[in-house]
Amino acid sequence: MTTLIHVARRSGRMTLRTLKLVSWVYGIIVLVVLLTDPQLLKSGTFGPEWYSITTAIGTLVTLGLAVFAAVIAAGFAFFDTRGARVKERKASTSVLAAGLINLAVLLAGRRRAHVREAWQGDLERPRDPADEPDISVFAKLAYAAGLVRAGIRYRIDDAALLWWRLADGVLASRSWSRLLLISPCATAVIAIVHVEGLYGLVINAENLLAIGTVSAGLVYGGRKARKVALKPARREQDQR
Amino acid sequence: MAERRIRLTSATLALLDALITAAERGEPVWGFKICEQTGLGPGTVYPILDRLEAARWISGLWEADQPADRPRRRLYEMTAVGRAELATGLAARPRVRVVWRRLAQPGSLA
Repeated sequence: MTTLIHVARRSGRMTLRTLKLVSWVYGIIVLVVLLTDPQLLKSGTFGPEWYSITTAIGTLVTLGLAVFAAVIAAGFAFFDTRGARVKERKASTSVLAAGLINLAVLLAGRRRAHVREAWQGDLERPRDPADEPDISVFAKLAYAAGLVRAGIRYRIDDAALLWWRLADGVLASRSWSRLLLISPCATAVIAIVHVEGLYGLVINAENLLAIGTVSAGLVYGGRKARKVALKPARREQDQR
Repeated sequence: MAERRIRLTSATLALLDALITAAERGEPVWGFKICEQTGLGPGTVYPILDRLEAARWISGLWEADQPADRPRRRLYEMTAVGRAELATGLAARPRVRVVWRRLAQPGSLA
């Protein structure tokens, strides 16, 4: 039985990896096609074949992910991480709630694998109701659904933390901050000169000023809001 | 930089209040109990607990003894750092409220 569980788990991981790979490859192909052939963006260029292929692949990927999630939720409801039958360990939690907890743990990621025990401990009650009264099946299901939400929010929080780390790094660096300040204005200047000529700069002066103000607001306001200190310049560092 | 900053939202304050109350009574609290006491769902409570634990405002520890008929629970308690930071945060809050109220008055921006 343990071997069977290992095989099932390995195939589950492989399915997830394949789905990830397929979606990445598909995304890259679409991007490359659109970038190399801008004519495709014009209306009427996409034929019915294009739409049918896109829809078919999109549907397949979505269905695959849904089936994978369902298999994980249902299959892992009967077995815990160590391959022991949940029923043998006496589960007062319903099968569906246990499945939802497993799905939530999967969503929370490997770094938070320890939450499985805590979440199971939340829902499972002692055999003797006098020690602690049991809660209804619906309440358990609602709680388990909330745990799935918690798992998703963990991942969103992790992504947000990564983004803020990047943003703080840019705001703390002199060269990156300058780039953030200059590049929008420089891009606008180049675009205006290219389309309208040098006289366009005079006409669009207020637009350039607005772009500059917004960029400066982002950099200086961002530093203040995030309480980010600017790194000292190299000369100052050398002097120290 | 990029450390987890704790925003004192109503949910965070309710959670911290539950932890402080439980500590005063000498009762252990875990996720489900916090949800019951605060009326918040686990989808809100657990991410906040995670953030507070990462910022060292609270500490999570497993039940000392393994119960025979259920898995161990993770118990939470506030740390000294958490209490100090909470006091600082709460002291700064009224100032923000006063400024906000002043701005919200009709004609204040005229």
